Amino acid sequence: MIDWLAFVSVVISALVAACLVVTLFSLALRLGDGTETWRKGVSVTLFVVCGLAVLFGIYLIVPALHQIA
Amino acid sequence: MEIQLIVALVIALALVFDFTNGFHDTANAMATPIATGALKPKMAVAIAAVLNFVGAFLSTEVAKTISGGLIKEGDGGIQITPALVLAGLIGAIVWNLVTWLLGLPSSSSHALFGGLIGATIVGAGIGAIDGAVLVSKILIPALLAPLTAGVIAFLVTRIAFGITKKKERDGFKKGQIFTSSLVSLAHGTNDAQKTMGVITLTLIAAGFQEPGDGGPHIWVIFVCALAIALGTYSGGWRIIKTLGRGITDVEPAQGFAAEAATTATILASTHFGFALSTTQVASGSVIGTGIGRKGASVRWRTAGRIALGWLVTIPAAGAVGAIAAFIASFGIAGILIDVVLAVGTIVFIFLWSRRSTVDSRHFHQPEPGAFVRPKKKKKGNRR
Repeated sequence: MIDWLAFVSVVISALVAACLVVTLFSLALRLGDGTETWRKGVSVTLFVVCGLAVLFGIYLIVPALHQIA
Repeated sequence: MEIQLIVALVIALALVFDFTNGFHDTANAMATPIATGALKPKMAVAIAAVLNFVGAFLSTEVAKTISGGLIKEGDGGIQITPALVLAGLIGAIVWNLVTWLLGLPSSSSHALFGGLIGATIVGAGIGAIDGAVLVSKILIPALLAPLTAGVIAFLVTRIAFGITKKKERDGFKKGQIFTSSLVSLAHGTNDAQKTMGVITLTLIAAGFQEPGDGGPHIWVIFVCALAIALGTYSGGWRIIKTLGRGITDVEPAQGFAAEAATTATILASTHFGFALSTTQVASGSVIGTGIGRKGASVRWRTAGRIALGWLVTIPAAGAVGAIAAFIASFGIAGILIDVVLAVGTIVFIFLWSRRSTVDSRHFHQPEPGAFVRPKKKKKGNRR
């Protein structure tokens, strides 16, 4: 009765997504701390990528966005 | 006349349940940002309320069978009557209020299922319940949800603390605003639907709406959205206190890690159609992040109390639902007695809760830096 395939999909995708976002956000904070100019740029880029992850989250939440009527 | 009265009572109780659902689940999204000071308490519940309200309108896809196959319906099965729905709702509301009084984060969906199961057993016999569905849809996911979220939260907490240095970790507060908002939005799209489903089912059962009418009426969507938003705004502070302070002391990096784990797990579970309880996922995440930070301690007694609450939720809500269904079986007088008893219980629990209030003021945090950094001593005019 248990749909184990669905469960494994949930675990793997949630694990990958959470690790990715937390790694990127942590790196963005770490790099944003230095004085060199390149660090600032990379840090902002990483924050933007995290922002895209949030947008993807909204895309997943709102059915109208991912279900073609 | 009689059927109109019952339907009106069911709608009223469904909205009360929706309200308790809102304030019970504010904690899932907002306990950690409030605990770390990422959001001021009032601000946090306001954001959650708005997102829950918006979320309720986003999904037009309604859970037609809110029982999810748990109760054998249709041909060869039983017809669930408005009176049984009413009894089930009373069970769910009462149990939600009791757990709130105890500050336990428990699943509102389970309370609703429990209440309906209890009412159905009395109304239609034990044979009306599909035991296999009960195990595979509720009991096993209840074990898997906190476990999955806990392991993920543990790992990402380690990552967050591994990469960043101590002075940079305040930055996680900004991230927390986004992750907790996503949880709130997802909650609104899912949970207000349950109440809409209950009301629509009742309207169809009473013959006020055509079965093939396609989803809830717009006024149903609106009142459900409003009820859950008001409930969310009123803030279940007791549960926020348990989840944000009771299990472990949450730092910004942990808050972000826990919410990232919660958000990822919930979105994945919805996407792949493997339903997991938001409450159980969020609680698992907080425990996981407590284990993940070196030097942090998890108060296992509190965690144990919460787990016990989860175990008891379905039988307890079911027992109340069963009693209510038994009283309701005496016809319209029984139903009225039910409603009077339910209102009496709600008022009693509310008055009891006044003995020790927990509200937003308990979460006051000093402005960061206000006390922490002492003024630098002036050393002459050296710059």
